[in-house]
Amino acid sequence: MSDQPDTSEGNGEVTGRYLIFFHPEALSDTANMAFNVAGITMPGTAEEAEAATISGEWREMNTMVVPSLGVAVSDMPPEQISRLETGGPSPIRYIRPEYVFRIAADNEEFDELSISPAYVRGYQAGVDNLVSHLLEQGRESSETEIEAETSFRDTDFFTWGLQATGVDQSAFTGQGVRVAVLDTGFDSEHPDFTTREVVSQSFIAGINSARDDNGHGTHCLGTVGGPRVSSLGPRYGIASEAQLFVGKVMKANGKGNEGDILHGIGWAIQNKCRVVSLSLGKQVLASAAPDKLYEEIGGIALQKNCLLVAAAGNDSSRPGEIDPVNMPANSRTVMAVGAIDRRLKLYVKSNGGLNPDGGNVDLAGPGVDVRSSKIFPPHFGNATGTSMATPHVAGIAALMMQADPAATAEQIWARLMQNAQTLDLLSRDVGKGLVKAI
Amino acid sequence: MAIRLSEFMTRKKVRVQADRAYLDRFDEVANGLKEAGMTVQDQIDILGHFSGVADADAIENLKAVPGVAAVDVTGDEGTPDSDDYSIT
Repeated sequence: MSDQPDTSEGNGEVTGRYLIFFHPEALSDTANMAFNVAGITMPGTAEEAEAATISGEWREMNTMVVPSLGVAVSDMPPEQISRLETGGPSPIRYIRPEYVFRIAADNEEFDELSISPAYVRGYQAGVDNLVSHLLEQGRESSETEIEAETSFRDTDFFTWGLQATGVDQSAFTGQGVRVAVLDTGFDSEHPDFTTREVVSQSFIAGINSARDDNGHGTHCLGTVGGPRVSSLGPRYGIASEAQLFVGKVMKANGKGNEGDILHGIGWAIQNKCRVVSLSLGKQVLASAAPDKLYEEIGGIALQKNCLLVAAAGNDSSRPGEIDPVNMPANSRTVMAVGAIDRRLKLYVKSNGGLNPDGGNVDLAGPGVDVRSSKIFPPHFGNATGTSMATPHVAGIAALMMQADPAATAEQIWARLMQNAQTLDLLSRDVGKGLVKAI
Repeated sequence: MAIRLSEFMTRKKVRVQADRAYLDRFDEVANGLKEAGMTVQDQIDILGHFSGVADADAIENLKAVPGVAAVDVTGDEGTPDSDDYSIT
């Protein structure tokens, strides 16, 4: 039985209209079926729907479709709305009243809002886009189209990073793959992880649990393995069914020592983790050779069928200053990840491949304004850094490992590189380009 | 009265990493390190990683042990480990 549409007005201030959210894969002629059930004829395809909206056909029924956002706004009466089926095989994900939002003009911190402001902004941008289309009907604006192609935004369904990396299109979940995140720990009471079995351990003397006392680890873990459906806002996790291992190797102040990190790596390999996400590092001097220690550690990990993925670091201040890739990412046997933003431009602090023999950047991942899990209510929010890009690569590696369990860690490394999307940026800064899911 | 110079020398904290070519015989490396004067206090077997202390003048001997890839001196004996890694 399908869920009933929410036609109540709830506690929030409502506009009287309804938002109809479609499954992203259903934004085609299948949406037609749902509307037919309600006795409404909908244009056949998403493109036609948008065209019809623009041309005004749909204004007769006061419904506006924004297929690119996967949402329709309608002021159909509640009895008509209630005939639309949601859940199960219906292309409609859910329906709810449109609320009135009030956002302080200078409120850059998203955490205060109960519904993703990224969605609201996306919605606003979509409406703006529609209006400009209406105003400029018949006049092609190629510049606008190019901009639209190269800028991602968080939708109601997926973070911009999951869209940019193609995770939103992937059928893989990392099921059966063990993935380790070595960081500040994680919040086991996070609403998206309460039912998830996570193996955790602290490697810091005097700290007995892997409880996250900083927040960084919970954010990184969320990107690697958050659930397919988040309790609030868009999906942000990649390997939603991977077996997660959390090693606390970094302290509340965001610092840690080599011995604890190495113990964490050893633990992950001992537990047959196939990939280890290391959103941590230490600055090295320009022209420094890679550290021999990590050359061996990364090589041993690969021989044990485990891929170490590490952040390139955020020491640069572009365009004026470019700093070299941090240790341990600067080793030939450890994958180094740089960060790009939603416009696929380089993150200004992302380090560059300046040093020889492994000091290069291998791949880039989404690393600016990345939404994921947080330790404090409302438990979700954005963060920026090569730390955020790294778990995108680790999570996608897990998807590839599920797809081909017989592939060795070295083969997965090669596939990550082969599958990367070439960017209009220097390989010094992004290696082979943007990591892409399969 | 003869005083051995080493009594005045500071003992150093060291990290030693074995070469991955010795993956199946890290214990040989451990024995070699002990014979060369290192007191191994902690080891990560699966990684072939050893930490402990050694006399400053034994450091070169540690580097010469077969299967040793890297010897890092991380401070004087008794000093705490440096928290020199950061989240990124």
